Amino acid sequence: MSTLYQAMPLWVLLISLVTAVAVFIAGEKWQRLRTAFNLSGAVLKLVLVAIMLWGVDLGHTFVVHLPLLPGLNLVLQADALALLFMSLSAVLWLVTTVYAIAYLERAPDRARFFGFFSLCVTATMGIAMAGNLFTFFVFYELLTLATWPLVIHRGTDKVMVAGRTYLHYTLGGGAVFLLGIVLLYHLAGPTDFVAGGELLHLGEDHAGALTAIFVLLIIGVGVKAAIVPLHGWLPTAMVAPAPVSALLHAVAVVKAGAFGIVRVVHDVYGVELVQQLHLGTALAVVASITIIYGSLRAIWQTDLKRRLAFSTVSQVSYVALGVAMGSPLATIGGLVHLVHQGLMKITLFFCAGAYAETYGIHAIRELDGIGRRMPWTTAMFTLGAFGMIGVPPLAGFISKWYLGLGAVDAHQYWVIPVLLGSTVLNAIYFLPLLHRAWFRPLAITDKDRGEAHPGLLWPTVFTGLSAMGVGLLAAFAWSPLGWVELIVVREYGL
Amino acid sequence: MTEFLPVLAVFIPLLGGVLQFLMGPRAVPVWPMVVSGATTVCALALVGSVTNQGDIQHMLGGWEAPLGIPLRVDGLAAVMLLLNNVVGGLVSLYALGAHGRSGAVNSHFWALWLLLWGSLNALFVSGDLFNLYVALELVSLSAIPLVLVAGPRKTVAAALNYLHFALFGSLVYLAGVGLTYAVAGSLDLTLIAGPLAEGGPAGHMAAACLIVGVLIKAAIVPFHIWLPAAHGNAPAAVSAVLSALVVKSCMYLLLRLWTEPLAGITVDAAAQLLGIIGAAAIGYGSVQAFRQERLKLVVAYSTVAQLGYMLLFFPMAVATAWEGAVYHGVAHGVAKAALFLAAGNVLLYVGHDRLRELRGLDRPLALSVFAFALAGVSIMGLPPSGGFIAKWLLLSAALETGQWWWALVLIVGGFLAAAYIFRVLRYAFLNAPGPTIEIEGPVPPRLMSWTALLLGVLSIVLGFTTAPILGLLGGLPGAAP
Amino acid sequence: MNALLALLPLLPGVLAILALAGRIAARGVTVGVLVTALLAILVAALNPGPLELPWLLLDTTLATDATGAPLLVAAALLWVAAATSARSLFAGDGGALFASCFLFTFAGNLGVLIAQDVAAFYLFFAVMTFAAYGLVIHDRTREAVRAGRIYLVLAVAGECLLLSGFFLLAAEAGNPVAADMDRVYADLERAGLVGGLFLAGFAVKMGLIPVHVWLPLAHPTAPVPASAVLSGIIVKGGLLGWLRFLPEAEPALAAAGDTLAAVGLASAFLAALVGCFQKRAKTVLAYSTISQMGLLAVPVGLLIAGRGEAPVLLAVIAVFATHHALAKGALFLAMDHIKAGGRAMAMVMVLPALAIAGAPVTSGLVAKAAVKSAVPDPLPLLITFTSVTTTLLLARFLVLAWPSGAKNAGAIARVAIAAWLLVIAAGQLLPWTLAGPAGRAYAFQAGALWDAVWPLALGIGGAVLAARMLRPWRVLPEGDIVVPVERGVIGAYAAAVRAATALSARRPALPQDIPWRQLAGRLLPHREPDIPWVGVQMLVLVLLLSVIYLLAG
Repeated sequence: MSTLYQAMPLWVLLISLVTAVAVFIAGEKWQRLRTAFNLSGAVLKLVLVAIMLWGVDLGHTFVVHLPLLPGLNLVLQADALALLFMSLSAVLWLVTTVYAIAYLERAPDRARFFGFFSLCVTATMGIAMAGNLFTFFVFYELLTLATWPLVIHRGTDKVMVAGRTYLHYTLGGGAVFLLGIVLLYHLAGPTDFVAGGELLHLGEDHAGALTAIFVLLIIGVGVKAAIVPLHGWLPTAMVAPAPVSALLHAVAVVKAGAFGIVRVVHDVYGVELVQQLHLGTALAVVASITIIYGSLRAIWQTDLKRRLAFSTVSQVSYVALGVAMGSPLATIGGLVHLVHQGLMKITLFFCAGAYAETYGIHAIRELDGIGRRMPWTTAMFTLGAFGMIGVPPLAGFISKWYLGLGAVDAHQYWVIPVLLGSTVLNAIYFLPLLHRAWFRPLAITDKDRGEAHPGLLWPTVFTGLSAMGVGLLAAFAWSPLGWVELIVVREYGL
Repeated sequence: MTEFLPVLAVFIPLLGGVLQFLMGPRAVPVWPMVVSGATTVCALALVGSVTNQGDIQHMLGGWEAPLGIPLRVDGLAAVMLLLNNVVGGLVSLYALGAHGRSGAVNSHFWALWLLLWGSLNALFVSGDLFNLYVALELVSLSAIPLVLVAGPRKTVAAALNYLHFALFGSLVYLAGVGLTYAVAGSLDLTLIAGPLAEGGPAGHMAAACLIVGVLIKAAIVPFHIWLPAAHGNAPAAVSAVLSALVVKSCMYLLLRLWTEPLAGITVDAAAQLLGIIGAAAIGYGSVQAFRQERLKLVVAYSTVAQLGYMLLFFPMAVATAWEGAVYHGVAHGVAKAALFLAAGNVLLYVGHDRLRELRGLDRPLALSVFAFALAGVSIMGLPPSGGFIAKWLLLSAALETGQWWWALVLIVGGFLAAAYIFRVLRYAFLNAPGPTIEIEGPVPPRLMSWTALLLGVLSIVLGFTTAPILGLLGGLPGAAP
Repeated sequence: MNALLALLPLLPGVLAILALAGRIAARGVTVGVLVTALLAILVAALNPGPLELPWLLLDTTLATDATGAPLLVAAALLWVAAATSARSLFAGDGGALFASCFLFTFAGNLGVLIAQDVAAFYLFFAVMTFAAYGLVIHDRTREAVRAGRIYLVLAVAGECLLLSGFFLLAAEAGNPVAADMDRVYADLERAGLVGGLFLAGFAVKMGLIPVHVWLPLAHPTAPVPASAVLSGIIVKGGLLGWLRFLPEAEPALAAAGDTLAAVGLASAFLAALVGCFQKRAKTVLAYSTISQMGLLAVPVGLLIAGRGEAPVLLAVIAVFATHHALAKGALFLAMDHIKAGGRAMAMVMVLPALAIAGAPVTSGLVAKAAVKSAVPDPLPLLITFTSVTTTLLLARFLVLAWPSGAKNAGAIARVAIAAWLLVIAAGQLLPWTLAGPAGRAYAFQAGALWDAVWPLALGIGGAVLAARMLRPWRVLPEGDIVVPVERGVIGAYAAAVRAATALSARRPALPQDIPWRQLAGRLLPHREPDIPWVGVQMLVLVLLLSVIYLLAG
């Protein structure tokens, strides 16, 4: 393999970075040029990620080392798990870019928006490909910095307060995470992410220290993954424009946190050590509490985006739950939910954005009868909602299915009531919403408009149908499920 | 040739400055730029040769110690020279935009700035205590009038205050030098360590005077009183140099003295005292920075806080802490210069720097705000940036030595820094009704925006260039490799 | 050939999406249903081999089986009849939505009939369940919305039970197909639990007591064609679930099977009695469905418990299910026809009513006879007794439904009447055909005939007597036990909200924002103070001395 091919992670990273810089330089005036940069960057990245997918499937490894200090390397590596997250980001980035171009058609500060948007994806890609905790942290903090301008994009006082809350949580989490990493490096030396981790030999002598570090690390990533009680920023950050919320919830921020949990459990500690320290069950309990709490809070939200936000709080913890149980089947469920939740939630947020942009709908009670005016958007919303409930053939069903099987497999039977409770609660907060949208008489008197702008509609339709497609074609080898099975086989050495 | 590089790096700017005085406004901007270019090239060549060949020793005039004047460039000096000349070169470029037209004031600016540059280089290459004193005095004496370039009305009080402190610090330091000579009979840094350690009370006294003198000159809390006013009111280029380089040069001196001539004398209790002072500086400076209503004062107080980090080296005193402290100096130098230059652009455009009225600045001044943000990342110690690497190293050192309380200080300091940096950015991005900019000044020339941005980018790039820079620095002097 | 199987759910599914977007007219919907129905009949006739789609969902298998095939025919006929009489519902305001829900339910229903593996079955079951919500609440009245809500609550509860059962099953066996179920259960660690969950989960759809409450609410409020398919064929989804995902004669499930049979029998009696005290014809029919499904649960329970020969029981179940699907569907559809067609239509309607009651010569005779022939004593006698209650119930229905005037306003399309008559005719013929020569012969035995006649006579006599005696006729609320439960839930929620409000009112208000700035302002000067020069000197001195002291250590 040539060096250029080996260094693929670097190119993938650079593409979005270069896009970001190009967009900043193109500035506010050169709108077409900027759009061209944006779209070509997104497409190019998709192509590169596809090449890497193919390579990893063949068993190639892509690793880039950049030594910073003795024993401290910036490592980018693309293993199967990284590619799962990367493919998700690459696909959804393209889709969200298209959506955002339509959404912000007449808004000011677009150059700034798209620049940070690309930067945000750079950070996400870096998180996906991070080869050790240090690299992970670097991109994790970069993500915080790149998303703040997006959250406060509108620049109003209210938004600024939300931005402050966001920073309080994320910077706090970052600091705790940093402390955890430094302690771990002090204890065990710098270790790269390896399937199964490399800490098992320390398990007996340093159980207490390892447990404390694990807690620190999980708090660090748990802030972004919005694990209760660290979830406060997420509903507040709803003030951001819809594409940002979509990105925050589906791809970048919360996913980065969830992905971090996966990395910590699998590739730093290793499932065996986590079980040995009894941390798996503890994490699963925390995740379960989050799942139920998020859903409960969602029921009483009257604002559409806030309801979706609490739904995210709940759904993202499926990933943590799956990973924590320590059974291969549950891991499949958790990992595949990383992708599935992304597709479903981005669809829901796209729809919420389309409602807001087309008819100015923000509150749930304004949704009455919207299905008649915007049948396609509402159909996609329905798909997303049913997916969240876990109805087949949508993506959420596959995740829930494997989580349930994993719970049985790991003999953690108490998880099944949690999953069912989540199903019921999801039904409680989504079905009335669907009832309103489809079956109530129309509340809007504005007669001229119909369906959303095509630039808003098509990305939504794409993600909505993908959310169904990945469920329907789950058994297909190249589906997310197929890929996750590959990961788990490699991870557990089955 | 290599041997003369230190001499060139010192005397080109010094002579250039003097000649600028003589030639007056006619020579602006060609002559200063030529001198700046030559200095930067020489200094970078010097750093390059240190990288390749190791430390350079040169006896001025050819006499051997203890009679001659030794010039010495080791790893620490090379790193500081690198910082000094890269930032100096960029500030010169910026100043070309701000002070590029001929005129008496500009001519004075350039003359003083070149003198200051030369004396800073001199400070870094000096190898004995007296030379260091002379260089230190030169630095102060060229820096203080620079503050006045902004116009006498605003800054006379500040400059006077600065002068008082500088002189007082020098006095204490000079007492230390005198005592040292009395005890050791030499001022060469390499020769006085042993005698000082065995010097008893006189040795202790000498060491204390040296340390406290430098602390006063470095504007460490509680001797920072003059700093916010002086740094906050000087012209942008001057503020940048003062905050990024001048106070840094004093910190360099402290590191140098502590690790070499005073190595045998220092005790842990004193080191802890310095650490506590550092922590106090971090806390006080950050809180005050958060409370300021003017942009440049925020940045100035940030300097007060950031200097404290370098003091955290002393209680830990391991190789990681050494690397962390020096790297912090470098990262802070670059980032602080970027902050001040960006603030200068804001001042130029708006005409004032009252934070509450700086709404929606990101549109007209996108580059400068971006530069501010990038540098802010480094100041906050967030990755990827030089500031982060420094913080990482210091954190590692704190845990390595088991002094976890310093880790706490580092983390809290990071939060406080985030608070004041984001407060500024918040106003810049704010889009709400409220007091707005009344009269829009000239949009800063490209040169000024881009130099600020370049420094901002550099402070991020420093997050990836750790290996060569720390390689150049070398290990903690005196420690086993 | 077996690719046709995939078309069955796919075609109406695609049509449903088009209908939602308003791309096909009312006629198009009907034609689509007709074409799909013809395909379904073709599939049932050809009985092709299983269609395996390993890439779909979690390895999907579609096939017809002994129960699925006849029900497929019944479903096809019933859906066509419903679609023809629902023409007007497909048009106008909200018509597109109704058409879409109708077609989705159809797709799900056909899918349930042919899905053989767990995941695909669950998929179609869910599609059918959720799409049917749109049918139930089509009228948008308060009543309809309430019915829809209760329907959904029970449906979601049922799904949860099923899902947990599937988890336990699939954790050990992957995604098994129905044919392997006996083997799968033999190896299962918790066979009893899994079986119990499935029994309970599917019982919701079947409407067994006590989870029957959605039926009497949903059926009267839904439009007539929707009620017809709901009651006729959609409830059979539960039956198919039982048959496919529970083993035959598994010892671990003997108790569960017996319980099912007992609950079924109890449902058969109780529902019929409660149904007699209703005031709406469609509600009465809904209770009749509960009652009949209870009856159908008896052979299923026995099959699971292993009391009786499996092939015989399976055949019996198929006959009875087909009979009930068509007869009950025809009765529901009649509600529209008698409005337009008056007495003539009502006379025709009596035939399926008699069939449900099990009158001689009707399909009910062969169906009930078949059941009785396959079950051990004393069940045949009890089943005969249910005929009495059923007769009472249907008498009540006829009284309520009988048209008062000659002919009401409104016309009904000829094709709809033709389709309805076809359903009635097929309802009479198909069970007889399915029963086979042995079954037919058994039904025509003297004993069996007598067993069919006396309950009927007794029932009619009882009905006449009751009509005389019980005046005024008391009326029970629709959905019987749901009324107190609903009241209780609403009351409890209101109490909880009150308690929460009271608690939050009593909580002391925390200061919103700690005044950091004022605090700092008091402690720290905003600007650097003008320290007197002496002060600085003292400071230096102090520091110097302390450093010296420390260094001297």
